[in-house]
Amino acid sequence: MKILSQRHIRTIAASVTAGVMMVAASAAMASGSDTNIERQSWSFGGIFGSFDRAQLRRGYMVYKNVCSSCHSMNRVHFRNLGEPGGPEYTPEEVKAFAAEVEVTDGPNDEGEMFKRPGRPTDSFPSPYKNVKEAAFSNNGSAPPDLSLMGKARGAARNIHWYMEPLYWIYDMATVYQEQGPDYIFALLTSYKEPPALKISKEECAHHQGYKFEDGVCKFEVIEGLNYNIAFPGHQVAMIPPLSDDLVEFVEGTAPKTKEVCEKDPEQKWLADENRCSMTTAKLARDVAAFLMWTSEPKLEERKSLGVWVMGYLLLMTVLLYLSKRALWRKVKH
Amino acid sequence: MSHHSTYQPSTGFTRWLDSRLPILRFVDDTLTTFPTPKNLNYWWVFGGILAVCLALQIVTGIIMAMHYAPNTLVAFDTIEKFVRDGNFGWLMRYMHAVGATMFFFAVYIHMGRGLYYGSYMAPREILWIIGVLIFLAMMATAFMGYSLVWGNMSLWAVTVITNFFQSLDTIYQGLGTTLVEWIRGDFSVSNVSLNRLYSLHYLVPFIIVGLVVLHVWALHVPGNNNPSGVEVQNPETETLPFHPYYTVKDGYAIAAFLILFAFILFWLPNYFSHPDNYVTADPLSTPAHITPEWYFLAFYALLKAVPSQLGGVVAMFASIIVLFFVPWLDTSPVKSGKHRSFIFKLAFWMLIFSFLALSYLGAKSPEGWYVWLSRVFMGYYFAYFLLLLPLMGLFQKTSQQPASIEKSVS
Amino acid sequence: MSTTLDENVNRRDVIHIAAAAVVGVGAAAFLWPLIDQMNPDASTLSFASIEVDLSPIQPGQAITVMWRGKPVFIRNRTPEEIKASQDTKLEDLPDPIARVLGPDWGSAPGSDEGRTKKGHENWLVVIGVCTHLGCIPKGQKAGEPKGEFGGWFCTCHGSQYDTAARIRKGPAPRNLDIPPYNFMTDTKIKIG
Repeated sequence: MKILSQRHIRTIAASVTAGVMMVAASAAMASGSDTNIERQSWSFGGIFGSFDRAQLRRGYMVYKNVCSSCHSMNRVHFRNLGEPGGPEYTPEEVKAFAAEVEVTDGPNDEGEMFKRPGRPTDSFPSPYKNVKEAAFSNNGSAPPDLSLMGKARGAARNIHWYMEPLYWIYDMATVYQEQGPDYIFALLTSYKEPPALKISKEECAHHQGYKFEDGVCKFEVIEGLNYNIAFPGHQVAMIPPLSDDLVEFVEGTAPKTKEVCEKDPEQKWLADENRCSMTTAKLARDVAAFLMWTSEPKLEERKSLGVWVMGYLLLMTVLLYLSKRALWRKVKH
Repeated sequence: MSHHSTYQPSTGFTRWLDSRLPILRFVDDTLTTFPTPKNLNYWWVFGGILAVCLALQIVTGIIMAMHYAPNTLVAFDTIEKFVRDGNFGWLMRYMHAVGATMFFFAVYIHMGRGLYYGSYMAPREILWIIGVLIFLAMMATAFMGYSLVWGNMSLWAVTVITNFFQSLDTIYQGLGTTLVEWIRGDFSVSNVSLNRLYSLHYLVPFIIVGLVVLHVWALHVPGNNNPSGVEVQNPETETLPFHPYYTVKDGYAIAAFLILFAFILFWLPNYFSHPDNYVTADPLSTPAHITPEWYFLAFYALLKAVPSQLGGVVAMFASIIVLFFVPWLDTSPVKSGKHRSFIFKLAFWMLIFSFLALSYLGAKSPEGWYVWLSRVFMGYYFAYFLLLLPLMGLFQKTSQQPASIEKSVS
Repeated sequence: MSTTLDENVNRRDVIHIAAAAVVGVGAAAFLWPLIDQMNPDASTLSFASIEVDLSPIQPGQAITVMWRGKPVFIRNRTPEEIKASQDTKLEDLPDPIARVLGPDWGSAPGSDEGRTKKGHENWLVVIGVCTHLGCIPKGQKAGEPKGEFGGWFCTCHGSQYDTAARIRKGPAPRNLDIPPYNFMTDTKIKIG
C-alpha cells in the first residue's frame, strides 16, 4: 500500500528544502547587534509598577558614594529626595544631605564667588567645573551627566530580523520601558576578561581586533579602555566602578540574619563580620533603579493616573457604543 | 452634499444672531443636519479622530509654549524643568509627543481609506489635493517640533534634512550652499536655526487649521464618498443627518482611539521616541544611527535607496508629489475598491505592505540587502501610482458596482 | 398607550443621557491639568520659604534679602530706634494697622509690638516695597537717607517711614508689609 504518493513526497521535499534554506539564510542574516541586553524584572515595570523606596535609597547611596565623584546629576535637586514618588526621605534627612555638600554661590557684595553649605533647593553638585575639565580628568572622555540616563540608553537585542516585529508586539504588550535600567545593570555587571581564542597564530590573523600573544589569540583592548560585553563596541572608558561590598547598608536597614540576608541571591552573609553585604550585582541593580527614578520622577503618578483614565475611557467607550447601537438599530446600513 | 439650510432659530436671541452672523445656522448645516450616506463603515471615523488630534496638539502645544524657551542654551532644560517640577508637566509633554504619533497613525489610515475607496476621484479631486497639502504641513510641523527638544537626535535630524539642499550644488554650483545657509541662518545648525524652527512650528498648525476648514468645505460640496463608491441618488432614503448618527458613532470611535492613546501615553510614552534624544545636542558627537520618528521612516528609506544624494531627495519628494496626481492617474470608472477587480485589491494591499516594509527598512543602515529591498519596494510604490492605477482602470468594468447605495445595503 | 410610549422614550434616552453625562464629566476632569499647569511649579514653591542667618548683622545694621521676588529689609534696631517706635502713639499714625501678611492684615493694631516678635524686639523684618507705587525705599545702607523718622525714605515721591517701617509722611497709604516669618533660633529666621 502506498502511504506517500509522489505528490506528497514532492511537497514534503519542497517544504524541508524551504525550511533548511530559511534557517541557513537567517543564520547568515542573523543579529540586530552583537550584544544582547537581558530584560530584568523591576518593581516599577508593568501596568501597576511602583518604586521600591528602600531600593531607591540604597541606589542613592551608591550614586552618592561611588558615582558622584565623576558623574554629575544636575537636573536633580536635593528637595526631590523628599518629594512623593521617590526615595521619600524626611525634610530633616533632605536638609542633612544638602548640608553635606558645598555649593558655589555669589557673587557677593565684593564681587567674589563664595562657597556655602548646600540647601534643599540646590541641585546635586557637579564634580567638575565644566565638561572640558571632566574630559581632561578622565582620559579625554567626559563622564556623562546621569540625570536622564534611565531614558538615554536602549537595550540592544541580538535577534534575527524576522523576530523584530514579534518583539515590538511583545514589548508593547508588556509595556517595556525599562530599557535604560536594563542596560545600566548590564553595563555595570559585564566587565569581563577580554576573550581569548584557542586557535593557531595563522587563524588568529583572520580575526579583526585580535592579537596572538602568549600562545592564545587575545582580543586587543585599546590602552585606557576596559572590556565590557554590554557596551556597544565592547570597550568602555569607565573603569569598573562597583565591587562586592563597596557600599554598605545604611545603619539599621541591613538584614540581621544569614537566612534573611541570603534570601536575596545578590546578597552575601559575611560570617566573620556577622553582617549582610551586597554584591556587585545588587549594587548595580539598586543604582539602576535609582537612575530610573532620577529620569522619571513622575513614574508612579503617571501609572496610577493611567489606571483611572483607562477605567474611565473603557466606561465611556462602552456607553458610547451602546448609545450608537441604540441609535442605529432601526437603520438599514 | 450641499443641501438647503433647514435651520429655524427658535428664540428671539437666536433670530437676532442669525440675521447678523449666521454662525449657528452654519453649525446646524455642517454638523447637525448635514446629509451623510448611511452606509459609512468604520474606516470613515478617522476624519473626526484627526480633528480631535489637531485640537489636542494645539492645546498641549500652546501649554508647552508657556514653559519652553527656544534658545540652545536652555531649550532642553526648560522642557525637563516643566516635566519634573511643573504641575502635570509630564502629562502635557507626553500628550504632545504621543499625540504626534497618534496623529500620524490616524492620518495614514485616513489616506489609505481614501486610496482604497476612490475618495480622490471626481468630484472630490480638490478635497484630496487639500488633504495632501495637510499631510505635507503635518510632516513639516512634526519635524520642526521634534527639533525643538534640542536633544542630540533633534540637532542631527535637522542637520541631515537641511543638508538635502546641499545636493543642489550639483545642478548649479553655490545654489545648494546658499539655500542651506539661508534655511539655517548660519553655517551649521545653531541657535539661529532653533529660533526660526520655533516660530514656524507655532505657525504651521494654524495653517493646517485653515486647510482643514477648506478640506471640510470641499467635502461638503459633493458630500461624503461611501463604501459602495456609488454617489447618493436619493438623499431621503440613502442619507442620515450627521447628528446624532455620526456624531455619536464618531464619538464612540474617538473614545476607542483615546483608549489606544492613553495606553501608549501612560505606559509606553517613550516607546516611539529615541533614547538618543534624551542626550543634549552635541555638535561634536553624531548619534550611532540617525533615524527619524517612525512616521518618516518610509520616506527615509526612499532617501537612502537611491545612491546619489540628489537622487534620494528627488525620490523622497516625488513620493509625495505623485499623490497630488492620483485623481488623474486612476482611470477606473468604478470608485470603490470594494467593487473593483481582485488585481486592484491585491495591488492596493501590496502598496500598504510596501509602505510598511519601507518603514521597517528606513531604520536600518543602508547596506547589503536592506538597500536592495528598499529599491524593490520603492519601485513598487511608484509603479502602483504611475503604472498600475492607469492600467488597471482601463480593464475595470462597471458591472460589479451596485446600482445605488440603497441596493448595496439591502 | 401614552405611558408605554413614555416608557420606551425613557428607556431609549437613558443610554444617551448616561453617555453624554460620562463624556461631560471626563471633559471637565480633563480641563483641570490644563489649568493647573499654570500654577507655580515645585521649583517656585521650593523658594516660597527662605532661612536667613541673622548673626552677622550688628545693631544699627540692615540687610536686604530676596523673598518671592521681592526685597525684604531686615534691620537690627538700636535701643534708640526701638524706643522711638514704641513711644509713638497709634493716633499719630496715618496707618495704625500692623499690616502683617496673613488673616489679620487689615485689622491688628500697628504698634511696635504688633510689628515685631516677642523677645526679639530689636529685629524688624519688612517687605521693602513702598506702598505708594512700588519703588524700593532707601535707608538700608549707611549713608542713604532715612527720612525724618529714622526709618526709610522713598525717593520716588517722598514717602517717609519710621523705625518700625510705618508710614509717617508722604503719599504712601500704608505701612510696609510684614512678611510671615518665625524665629527658628535666636539667630535664624524662616521667612514664608
